[in-house]
Amino acid sequence: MEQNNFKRLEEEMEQQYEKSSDKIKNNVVRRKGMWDLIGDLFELYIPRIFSTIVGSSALSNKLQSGEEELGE
Amino acid sequence: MLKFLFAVLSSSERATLTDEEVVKEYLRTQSDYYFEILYARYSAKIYGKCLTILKEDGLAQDATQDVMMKILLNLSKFSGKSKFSTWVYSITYNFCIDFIRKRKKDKSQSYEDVSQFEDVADEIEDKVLLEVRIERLKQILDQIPPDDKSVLMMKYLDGMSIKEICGVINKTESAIKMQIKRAKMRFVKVHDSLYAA
Repeated sequence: MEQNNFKRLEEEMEQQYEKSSDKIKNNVVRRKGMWDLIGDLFELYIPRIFSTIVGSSALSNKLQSGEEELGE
Repeated sequence: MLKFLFAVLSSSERATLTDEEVVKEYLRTQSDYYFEILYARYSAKIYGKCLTILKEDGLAQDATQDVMMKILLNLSKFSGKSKFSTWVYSITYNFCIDFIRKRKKDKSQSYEDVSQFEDVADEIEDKVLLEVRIERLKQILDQIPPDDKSVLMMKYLDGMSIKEICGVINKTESAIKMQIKRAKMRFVKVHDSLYAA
């Protein structure tokens, strides 16, 4: 089999990962948790905000047309 | 008993699912279980590449986190045209090269111009690079520019084809072939300057 010291060097580098793997994983999990939270908040509130905007614009249209009818 | 069965089943599933299947399941379920599988398969490899290119443990740790997040947030963009590992490594290489460019660290480091030897140099055999002793390989890689280093790693470490490397660094096939040739020449020159008796 052909010798490939690039692969052996990578294995050596990967062994160093063991020392800091917990720290890296904790940070990744924390950042992932933050993104998940932001995603959940968007999922929860964006439709509500959207429906509130739509609802309020519909209401203002109604009020406007009501005022016009009264004026006539 | 049930717990044991579940553990056995999940460990065999972990081993048998391909990367592409794991990605598909993660996107479908958003379950941390599938993210854990990808993390276990790739985090050490990403760290190893970052450490080789960036040379510092602290930078490699930060880069590994950033690359993992980038992969996670862009998983839906993985089209499956290339292997998942190629996609992951392309994000890793591009991240490290961009990072070095941003820091402009290389301003202080000059690399020998090898362009004048391009036409006269014979093709350097792959064997010459592959069989350099590990401690020497490390020192040589530390002294060549990150672009050249990345191209050599893609070719000799990840076994990427010219076409795959084109996809990673957005260059034409002839440009990649030229870059590999130049990188190999630089490698040999650094080797000779360090170790030629």
